[in-house]
Amino acid sequence: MSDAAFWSTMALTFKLASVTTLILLLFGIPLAYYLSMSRSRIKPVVETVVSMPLVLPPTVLGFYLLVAFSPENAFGRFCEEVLGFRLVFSFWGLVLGSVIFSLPFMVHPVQSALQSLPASLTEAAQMLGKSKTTILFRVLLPNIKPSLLTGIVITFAHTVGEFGVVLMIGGNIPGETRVASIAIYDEVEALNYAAANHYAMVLFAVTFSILLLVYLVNRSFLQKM
Amino acid sequence: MVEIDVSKRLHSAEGDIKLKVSASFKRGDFVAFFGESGAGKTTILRMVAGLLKPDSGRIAVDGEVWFDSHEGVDLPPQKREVGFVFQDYALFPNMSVEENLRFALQKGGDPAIVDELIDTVGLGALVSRYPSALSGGQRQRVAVARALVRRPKILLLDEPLSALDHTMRSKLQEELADIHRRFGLTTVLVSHDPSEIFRLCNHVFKIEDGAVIKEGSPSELFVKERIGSSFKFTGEVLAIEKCEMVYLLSVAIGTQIVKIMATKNEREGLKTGSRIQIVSKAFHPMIFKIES
Amino acid sequence: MNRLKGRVTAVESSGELTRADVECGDTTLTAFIMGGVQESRRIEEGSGVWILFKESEVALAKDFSGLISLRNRFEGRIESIERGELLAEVVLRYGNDTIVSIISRRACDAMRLKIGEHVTALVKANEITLMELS
Repeated sequence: MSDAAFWSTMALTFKLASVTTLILLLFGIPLAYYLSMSRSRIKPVVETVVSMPLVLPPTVLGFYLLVAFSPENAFGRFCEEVLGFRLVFSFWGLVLGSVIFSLPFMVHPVQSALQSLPASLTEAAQMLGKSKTTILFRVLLPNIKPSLLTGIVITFAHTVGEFGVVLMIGGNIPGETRVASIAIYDEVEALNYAAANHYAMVLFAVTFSILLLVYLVNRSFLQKM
Repeated sequence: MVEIDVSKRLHSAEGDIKLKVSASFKRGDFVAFFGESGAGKTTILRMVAGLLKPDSGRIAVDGEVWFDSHEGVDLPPQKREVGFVFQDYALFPNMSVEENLRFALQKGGDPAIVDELIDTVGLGALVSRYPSALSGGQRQRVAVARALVRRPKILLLDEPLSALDHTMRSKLQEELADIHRRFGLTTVLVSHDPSEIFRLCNHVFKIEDGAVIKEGSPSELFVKERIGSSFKFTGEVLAIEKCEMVYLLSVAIGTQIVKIMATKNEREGLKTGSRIQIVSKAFHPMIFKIES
Repeated sequence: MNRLKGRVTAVESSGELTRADVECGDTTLTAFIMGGVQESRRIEEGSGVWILFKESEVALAKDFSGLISLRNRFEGRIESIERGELLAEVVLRYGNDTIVSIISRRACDAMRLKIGEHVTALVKANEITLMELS
């Protein structure tokens, strides 16, 4: 295995994790805000859908995404003919899969932190004439920074480590969809233990460092509060 | 004129209660909703603020309709010109004292009021502190100041002093009375403490099981025995000392502590913390002029 | 405080001051009230009232003769005496009620008050408070 292949795989892995986390930050927080406030009847349904990836085998989700992304089917055809890109066995397909699969890791910590804030904070801001968006960004999010950080990091780390969905819809195309977790599996299959260990060690070290950083930062947050 | 006539079905731990309240008072009044906890006092406040929607009824202030179920009017909280002081103060933990107040400013609002209010409540030295570094009394002051930044017509106070100790309570009561006068407010207080209401309010609505069962001045409501005499004080017994066949009671009346003599039968049933009414005829006083 | 039931027999006001005559047992008491007509409106002729006065405002007299300005008098019999260092508490039986007087220990000793003796309890008119029966 060449060094170049190793680093391109690592770069792809962290690019996928970063893009997924960013997208989830944009969609997950409003979704968590909605779920924390809503008393709607469809809320349990939305919550269930969000939580499904926690209990579903990744291959099940991967299988359905594969079917959906396939140009043989309506969604895949629409993407390919109208939007001009193919989702299956492509980087953006992987992103979409990861976003769906990591959704609960972003939504749950943020939602439960928002719910644990006293309702009077929101009401006080309402009484001061503030809009929902202002309340979210100026009052609520600044007071749940630790949970926000947790959400970001767990999402990131989880995407780095994801295997099943990625294998199903991404395949194993070097530089395009071949991420570290797949690479490890691949190298082991080829009895190339040294290379597998190389990947595994880097993943282990990086993940350990990130989590350690989170706990250190969160501790200093808590001390400040 | 503030007119409230609303009803709402509430689900509580002790089963459903039907809240049906009608109350009206004048601008400039300092009124209280008084009653046991769970009677629905806070709910009324929240409906006036617009945080909770009544099932039916009408809320109008100076002829301006804030809520009317028949006409389908329901102004959102931000349009109601109401300042709300929450029981837990609801200060924003991520903002300093000054930022809490500045956050309350309307777009284009005059920032001078922030400084004026900080001055009024005597928080000048604490502007850059965060809520977590403030005492209970200081938090309460910030909460009141923040509620006044938008120059509301009505100030709503939800048990604002219940978490504070005795001396802090009476100090803040004076400050609230002062702010009420100074800013020409109409103030509505929710409380279960008759002495607080006595000191602050000129009109009380007694709430029981979700309805106004009585209203009037504090003395009309709280003084059961109507006696023709001129001095009446309510106080709290701080200490009881026996002295031969009589007792000396130390009583806190307002910010003063006085010692009064009580006989055996008057002392009966009293303990420290008991609330008492002291009545004295107007014939006794010795009068001294205070030279200024 | 002492608390006896009575019935108003006459009310007279002069400006802010009101005088009420109240029948109580076999005696008629006078009470002064401030607050003029507004206050006195609650006290009508014929209405029942509570007569209230503090024990420490009750003076005692034995073998009483001569003139005295105190017109509120109760003729009673001493039921009990409790002597303290400086004070003495004397309980009188007056009809079905008791009247308690707290006087100085010295006066109590000087008068040689004993249980069973007949004494007169005296209260100044401005010490009496009237309260509506409720």
